[in-house]
Amino acid sequence: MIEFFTMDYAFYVYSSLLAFLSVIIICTKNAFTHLSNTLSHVKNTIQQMDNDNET
Amino acid sequence: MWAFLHKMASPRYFYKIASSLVPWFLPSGLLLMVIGLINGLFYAPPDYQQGDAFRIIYVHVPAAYISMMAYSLMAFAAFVALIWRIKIAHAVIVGAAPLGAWFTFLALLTGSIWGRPMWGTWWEWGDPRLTSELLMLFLYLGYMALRASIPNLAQADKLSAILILIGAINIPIIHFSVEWWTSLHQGSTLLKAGGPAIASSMLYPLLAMIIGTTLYFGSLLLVRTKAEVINREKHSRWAKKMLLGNQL
Repeated sequence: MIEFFTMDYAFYVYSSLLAFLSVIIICTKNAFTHLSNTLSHVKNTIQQMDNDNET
Repeated sequence: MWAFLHKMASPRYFYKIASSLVPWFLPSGLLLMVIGLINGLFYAPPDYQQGDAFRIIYVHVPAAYISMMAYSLMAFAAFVALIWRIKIAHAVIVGAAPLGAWFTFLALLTGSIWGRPMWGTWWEWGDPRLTSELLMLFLYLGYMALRASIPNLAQADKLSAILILIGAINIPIIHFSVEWWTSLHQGSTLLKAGGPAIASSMLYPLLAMIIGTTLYFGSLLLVRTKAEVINREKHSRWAKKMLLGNQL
């Protein structure tokens, strides 16, 4: 097993890993937040349309 | 097969299938990525020329692969949407674009980080692989900017699909650039005549990363496409029934 910090080019390898993990976290958070926001927005729109139809 | 694809063109059916696939795709993708990263970073032997710097391929290659695969998928969906006028195809393009842009950015960033110790430079404008990949990032951003600038949905769908199809010419250029022109970038390692030119102890973690990242991308694509589908179908009876019936 390779030692964690004594690896050659450790700065470059771990910078790449950090970039990868950051993108994974950002994409995951964005996708689920986007779905959640869209669902609540569409739900509000439908309720508003129903209320307008009743009045 | 055709019957399944025909069913998937129905927004209601797509939404239902997507909701059931995400809980399988996302954890299995993340698990494979963890396995691939641990094995690739700590157990695979160092490369005889590049030393430990070669380990950057475990994040760079999956990112580059997803960036091209996402654009190819968008081009296919744009073709389907324009020829057969299947609405769900536009939703797939909208869902794939931000993910493709992020992975293209990641491929460029990790490639640049790899380039510094291996080539002695962060970036080389004359290199065809680097510049064509950067062009793809601009195509993703251009697609999203074009969509956002057109208020009419049908017009935005049509014009942005045409842009995607025109930009698809860049895909073979990216792939074959290392063969057609002199490039700093090394040639293909996996898709090589006669099999992959890489030891199995290095190959298996890389395959785990590629499959894991694909499953991960697939799960987020489904999540984003679901959001686009429900937004487009908000006037339909099934969407109203599902949302107001609290079946979220």
